[in-house]
Amino acid sequence: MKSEIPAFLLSNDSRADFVRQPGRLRYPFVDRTLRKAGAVITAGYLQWETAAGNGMMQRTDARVKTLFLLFFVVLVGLTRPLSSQMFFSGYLLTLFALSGINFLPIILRTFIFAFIFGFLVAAPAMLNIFVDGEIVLNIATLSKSHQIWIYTIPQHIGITREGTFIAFGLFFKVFNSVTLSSLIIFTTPFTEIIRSLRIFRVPSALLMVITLTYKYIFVLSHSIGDMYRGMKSRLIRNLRSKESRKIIAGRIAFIFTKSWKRYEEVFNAMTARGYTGQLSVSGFRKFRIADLLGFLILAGIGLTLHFIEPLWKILSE
Amino acid sequence: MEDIIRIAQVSFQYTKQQPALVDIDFSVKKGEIFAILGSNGSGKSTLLNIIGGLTYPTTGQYFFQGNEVSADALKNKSFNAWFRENLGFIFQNPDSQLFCPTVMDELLFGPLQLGKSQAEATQRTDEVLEMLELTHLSARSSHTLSSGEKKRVAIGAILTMNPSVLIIDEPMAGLDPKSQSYITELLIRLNEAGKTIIISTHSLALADYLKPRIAVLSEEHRLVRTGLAEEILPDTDFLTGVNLIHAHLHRHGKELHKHIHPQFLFHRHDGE
Ligand SMILES: Nc1ncnc2c1ncn2[C@@H]1O[C@H](COP(=O)(O)OP(=O)(O)O)[C@@H](O)[C@H]1O
Ligand SMILES: [Mg+2]
Repeated sequence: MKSEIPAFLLSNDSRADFVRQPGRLRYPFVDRTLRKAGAVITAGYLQWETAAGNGMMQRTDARVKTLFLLFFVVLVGLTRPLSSQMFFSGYLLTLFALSGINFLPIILRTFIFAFIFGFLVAAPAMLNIFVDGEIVLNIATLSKSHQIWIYTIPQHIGITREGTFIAFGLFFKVFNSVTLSSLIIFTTPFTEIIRSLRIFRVPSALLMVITLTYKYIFVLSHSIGDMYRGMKSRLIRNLRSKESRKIIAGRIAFIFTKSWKRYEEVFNAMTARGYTGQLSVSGFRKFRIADLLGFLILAGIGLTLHFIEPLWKILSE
Repeated sequence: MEDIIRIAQVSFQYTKQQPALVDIDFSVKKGEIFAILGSNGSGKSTLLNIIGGLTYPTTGQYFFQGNEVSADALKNKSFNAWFRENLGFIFQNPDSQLFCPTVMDELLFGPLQLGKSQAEATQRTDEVLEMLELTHLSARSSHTLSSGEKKRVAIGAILTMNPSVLIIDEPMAGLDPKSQSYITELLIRLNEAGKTIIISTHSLALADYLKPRIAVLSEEHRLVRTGLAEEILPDTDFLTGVNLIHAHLHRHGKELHKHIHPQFLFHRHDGE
């Protein structure tokens, strides 16, 4: 390096003290999106890595939870009575509470999701235009019924008992399935879930690919966050859209190259530690009677709630 | 000298359980060299990120030339512009800092944003490229460079903006001895030209060369001492307490033994 220091560096650019002017700083849209995605992934990853805790579900063996997840998802799908579905919701919320998780925000999101993808999707079925049945709420009365294409518009338009049943049934199925998955995810570290999939004879190479992909997404989202900081420290004014396109194109290319390099590095690191394509995942401790009992209790309560209506009839007779 | 930076009762946490900075309080004067000294994980980078306006204190306040720097304050375009052009931030890991297609673009980015003419920006870029011996790499893309080269590009990208305050996280990380001595000289010369320089380091040797005012962070993420290099560096007991020096096991002839090696106290002057 030359020891000649450029003259401009030895002078101070004269800068008056700060004078405030109105105007907000905006980041390009793509940037904001990338950055937010990065932040969400990082937060989710940290949460999942540390899904440890002392609650009831956290202490349950991961294999028991994975089995319970599969069993219960099928059960929720097969259950028709609304009463049983409501009891399922109550049961899952109780399990959340017993695990000491602040579940309100999770449930709220699940609720909105189930409302849109369960209830709203099935909402038209509530009208007797689509599903015929006994009207419980009259909405409109026409002078006579009409025939349009394959649909008959009846004289009395209203919400039917059968249709309501379908819409709420779908809502509860979506709500309960998603709540159940959140329960398992929030109480089981990712690596445990992956390892427990081995009892279903999922090939370990496939599990390794899933694990690497997942870690990798985290590393990448971290890099995106870092680069965003780099840009922020040098962002002085709002970029013209042409400039920002150029920078973003450069950065996306950069992220690609970087991910490729990172992949090579990870692979080299694995090779250096003896990886040859065969993978030995360290085993679980033996499945104990207590674990089996745990599964039977969790599943048994679910099964009881599934048969709650006939059981109730038998008991009340 | 007037205070250019004031950190008032700042604490910072990445997660609820772990503090990264606890109740930090100090000022940096205009035109001085200031070093944040601490072992790995003591919170140096976090503190510099706060000074650079890249993260914000969880509690406490940060003032730059009397103006509070906060997420809200930086949303104002004029304040952000003024703050960013005064403060040049060089990251510990240059990969995080570089985002332009080529080395040349990287150096041009700053001055063009400051509203310099194309001619002036190009002139600055050429001069800095030459100074940092990067001219032959100017058309390369920065991710194809070695880590020492990347570091120099990162430094160059900030120097073309000619900020009045330079913040450098671990300036010597990843540099070979020749580049290190060059950077040391550069920092001293820039400081003599009136620039305020804030660095983080765990290197007592660097502190010995630059003779900065020092703030020492403990492993508990607290500020345990501030003072001049001349007072702090000879205090071996204190430095051992914050894990900045420790005994090395080594050989003398056939004998193995262990003691402290305070090399930084023995730098030689040519011709002595
Ligand atoms: N992104 C992060 N998320 C969580 N914790 C972090 C993060 N960055 C740093 N830390 C933690 O904060 C503390 C201070 O880190 P840092 O400021 O990088 O220290 P230093 O630069 O002195 O080595 C360390 O305990 C570190 O583990
Ligand atoms: Mg650091």
